[in-house]
Amino acid sequence: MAMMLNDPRFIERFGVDYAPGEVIFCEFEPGHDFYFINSGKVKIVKIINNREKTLDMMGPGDVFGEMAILEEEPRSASVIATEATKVLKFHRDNFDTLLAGNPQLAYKLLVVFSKRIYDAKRRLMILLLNEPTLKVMDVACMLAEQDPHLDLSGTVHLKVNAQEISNWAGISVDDANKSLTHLANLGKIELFHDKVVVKNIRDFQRTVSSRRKQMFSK
Amino acid sequence: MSGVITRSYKAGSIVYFEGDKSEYIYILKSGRIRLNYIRPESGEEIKEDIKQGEFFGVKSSLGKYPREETAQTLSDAVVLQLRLDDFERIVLGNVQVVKKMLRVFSNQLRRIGKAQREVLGETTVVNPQAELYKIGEYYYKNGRPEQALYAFKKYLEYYPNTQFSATSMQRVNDIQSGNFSSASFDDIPSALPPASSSNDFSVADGTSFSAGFSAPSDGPGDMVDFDFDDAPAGGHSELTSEMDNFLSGDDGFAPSAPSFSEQISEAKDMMSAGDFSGAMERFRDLIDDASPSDPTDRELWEDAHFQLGACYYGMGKLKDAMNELSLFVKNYPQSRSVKSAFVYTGYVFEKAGAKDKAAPYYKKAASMPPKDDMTASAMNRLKALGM
Repeated sequence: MAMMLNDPRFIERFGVDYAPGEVIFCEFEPGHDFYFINSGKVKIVKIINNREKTLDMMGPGDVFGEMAILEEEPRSASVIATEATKVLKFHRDNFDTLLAGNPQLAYKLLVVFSKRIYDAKRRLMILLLNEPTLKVMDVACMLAEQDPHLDLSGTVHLKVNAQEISNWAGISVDDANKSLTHLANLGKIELFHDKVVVKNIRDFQRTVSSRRKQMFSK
Repeated sequence: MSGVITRSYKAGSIVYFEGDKSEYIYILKSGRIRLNYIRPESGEEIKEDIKQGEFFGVKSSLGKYPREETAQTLSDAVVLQLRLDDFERIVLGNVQVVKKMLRVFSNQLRRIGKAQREVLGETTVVNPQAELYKIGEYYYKNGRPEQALYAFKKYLEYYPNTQFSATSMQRVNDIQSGNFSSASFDDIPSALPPASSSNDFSVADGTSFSAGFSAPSDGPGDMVDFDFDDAPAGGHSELTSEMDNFLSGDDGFAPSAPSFSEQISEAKDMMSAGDFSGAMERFRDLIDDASPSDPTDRELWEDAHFQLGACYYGMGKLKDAMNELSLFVKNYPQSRSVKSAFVYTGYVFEKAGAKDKAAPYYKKAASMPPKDDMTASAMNRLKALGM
């Protein structure tokens, strides 16, 4: 069957329009729908430590809110339109019917879930490390691995601050700062207010991976 | 499918190593292949045999990340090697395959989410109700009334008569009346630039939520987004009625009295928020209070009669819904909403388990001009019923 997501009747039935600044859904709100962006742009934000942090920007063809398909959990982030935006809004109950008529959407979801699984696993691996400094190092590794443009054999610049690192690592900001200072004192990283420069990320990867193996061999 | 390559391997060969980056996806045609990997949460070594005809290497290829497992042949084996676009073509023609994969993927995601929660321990359990309110407060205090209004309204919708209802109500009133402290505009924090991590949206998922949270249950039909536990039939608490007031805009704070059409659309907003009984009350009031002569308002007024039926349907009161709908069609046969009434009559029959009776109503609705979303709904239902 042909791609239905661009079918005008389909858009008419499921389309919802948002003005710039309008909230599509809010962090902690129960979620039942997932969305496909038809036109426009949205930002995905989260309030972390009393600050709104933009996690991602999305545009036409992107899918968001897909966790609602899996389970009834509150939304993990808010989505706000940044320009006039039209989304297709699908209730989870319609999921099966939708997939049948929209293999393209189904394929897109496969891709989205593949990425989510990897990211979630990666985060889990960080959380399982047993020392804050190791966790911080592995957060750096993860961020470096995620950026396809980075050359991991050289000095790596990561746009991240202590708060964000603490959040990834599941540790307090205090602990994150202590570990960062420690690593800086060892000359392994340089700290800036909006970025962390890692001298040798391969070294971090090796350290983390050998410690991870030790953890399980005990 | 020109890009598909058939490859033969001797027993004991490696198809790919853990850590390899590659876009290929494989199907095992014959022979035996085993995937070896280490489960991150336990360090446990897992061995998984691929069945003939099964895909492997799918996730890492789709997600464009390194292989997480090593694939080794246990016997001489033949595999089909697909590029991403070949794979896409295959799955687009076979939704069942995608569905099966999605099920597997979502189970994995659940398992990982559970493991994350366990590692983070119970200390990070939060109460989504209080957190939703805090989001509103954040935007309120940072001079962003539009976002604050959304969060507070959602709070009142999901958690009426709870801890923060009164404050939320006050905030909503303040924002809507423009009585919004300008002092709070002073400190507008600039949003941080996007993090280099682009996909952490749902990674943050499941790390901080109480497992005991129960969201409002879904209604079975696609019309029903939310059910309220408490149907405020008779005894409205002060707060609930205050909320009705704010939802109707008739709260005394509004600068001017809302027009008839505004009041109608507010009642409709209540419906889409799942507050069917509240919406019905509004519709009844509007029907009783006015008999507008303005043609547009007149149309809305007639439509309001239909909405009563839709509200009953939303509440799951099928018999009442049927009564209202047929009354409406009888009294206002010229109304534009007759088509909607037919579609809803179909819904009611379907929900009552009488598919054969639903179909004629959908057919009738589908045949009525103009082609609009109700036409689409009717046709969708017919299709779903196999007609």
